[in-house]
Amino acid sequence: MRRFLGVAFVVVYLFPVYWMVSASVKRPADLASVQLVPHSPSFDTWTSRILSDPRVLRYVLNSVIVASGTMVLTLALGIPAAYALARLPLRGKPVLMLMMLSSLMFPAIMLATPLFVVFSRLGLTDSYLGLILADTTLALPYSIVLLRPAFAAVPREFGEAALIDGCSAFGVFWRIVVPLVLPGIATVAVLAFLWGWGDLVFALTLASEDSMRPVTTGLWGFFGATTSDWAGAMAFSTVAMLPPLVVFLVSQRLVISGVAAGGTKG
Amino acid sequence: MRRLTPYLFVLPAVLFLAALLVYPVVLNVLMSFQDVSAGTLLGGAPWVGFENYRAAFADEVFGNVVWHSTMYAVVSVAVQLVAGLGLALFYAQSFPGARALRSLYMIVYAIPVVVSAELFRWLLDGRSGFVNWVLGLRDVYWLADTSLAFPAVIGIQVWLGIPFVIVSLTAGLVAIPREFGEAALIDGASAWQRFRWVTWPLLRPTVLATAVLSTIFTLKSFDLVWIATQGGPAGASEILPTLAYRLVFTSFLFGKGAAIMNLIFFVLLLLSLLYLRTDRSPR
Repeated sequence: MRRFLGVAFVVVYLFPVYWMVSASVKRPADLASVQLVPHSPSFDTWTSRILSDPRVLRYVLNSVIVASGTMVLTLALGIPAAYALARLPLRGKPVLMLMMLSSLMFPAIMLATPLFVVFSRLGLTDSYLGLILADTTLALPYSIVLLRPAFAAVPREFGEAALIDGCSAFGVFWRIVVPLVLPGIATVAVLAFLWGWGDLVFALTLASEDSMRPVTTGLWGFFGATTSDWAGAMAFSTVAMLPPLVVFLVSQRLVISGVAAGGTKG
Repeated sequence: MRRLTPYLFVLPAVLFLAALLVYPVVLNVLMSFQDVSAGTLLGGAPWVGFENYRAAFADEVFGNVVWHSTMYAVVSVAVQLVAGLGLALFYAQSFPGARALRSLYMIVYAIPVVVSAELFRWLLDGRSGFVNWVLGLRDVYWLADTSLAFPAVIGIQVWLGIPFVIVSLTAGLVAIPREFGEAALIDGASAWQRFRWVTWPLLRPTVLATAVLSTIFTLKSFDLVWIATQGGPAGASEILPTLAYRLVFTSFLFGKGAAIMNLIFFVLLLLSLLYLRTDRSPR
């Protein structure tokens, strides 16, 4: 009985997602009549609205580049910083940690105008680098807050032994400690990717040129406020959902522990 | 040199955040005290004191928007906490597949908010929307209706927020030793008594922390409302972030928009301090 209820709740909760995917394989004319299972499945929407339109592929590619770039930059800056904050003698740690924690609360929208001003001056609008930098500003503090406890959990003796054996401070970090924290690093990597993929605010404000749009603003551009092409919109939405969903399902357990540690996306 | 090494580890991150997080915030504060126009966006705008704040607060829509933002956060957080607590308790029972089923809720967390918002635009559509079919209604355009749009958006926000509440409360539930509940069971406590006198007192700090965090996330959320209604129709679902965005990027009232953003920031800062004071210390 419990099991039945447990399944029933999930089915009800996730039904909208199923409805979206199934709509993309219905004939557009069938959308108005509610068919729980597509009566005559058809891939017309996919071929006519998605596969034949080169812009869709372009948007997906842009999103892949921006999300991966955000992930790499977040890790490159966040891993050493989290390690130092957890492990090394450093003045001003409380101030730095408070800064990281409070930036978790930042609305992306608040950074949008100043970053637009600064990036216009630097010629970084409508560029991958600009979007990656902007997305990293919010992913980085989050990654440091999440990674610091992971580094702190590694027994100090490991590093001390290596130091005595003549390993450099960087050697201890890179060869001894980082390999032990890989699960935490993977969590942060996935979250940074999801963040970069899902961003709307910076995509709206920093990438106005059509060729630079990621899937979020691409979707909005195609199927904006006045659309009635719901089959196309649901097919495009499915495309925009699939990559992060795959990344998420592959790494599911990691991400759940990360979210439980106190964060969600903005 | 060896004493400096630790600083080299944090330096890149600190420089990055100083340039792209701290500096923008400062710039925002400065802009809120200037009469910035498109021509003076890159510098040289005249100082106007608190004029932007005065103009923003005196705006006839301002009261409505503050009310919307408050209701948006309070109602959706309250509903998602109740629903999330129920689901977290349900899936904390031991039955086959409980953990796997619970993790399925997290799928919604991986989906970009833009996609979810677009999906609900269709579900709530008047002609072919699923919601109307379930309720047996015809031609009710939820998101285009001045009295229905805002409740509908709150409903979508609840759907989006539930996974975080489940995960966060489950982490708190798991930390409660099983023996407590078992001891109460042996003493003949009913399910409700066990919840009221064992689980709830121990879970309350987690619930409070989750409530504050959810409130922060809801207050700052922009994506859902922007895609679902763009604050419309006729401002019926306008919240502070969408108002600020509109002021800056469609009306080019940079100073006034900055004033609104600083207001959001100030409220979030107070809530963050509250969060840091709640029992659940950041691990």
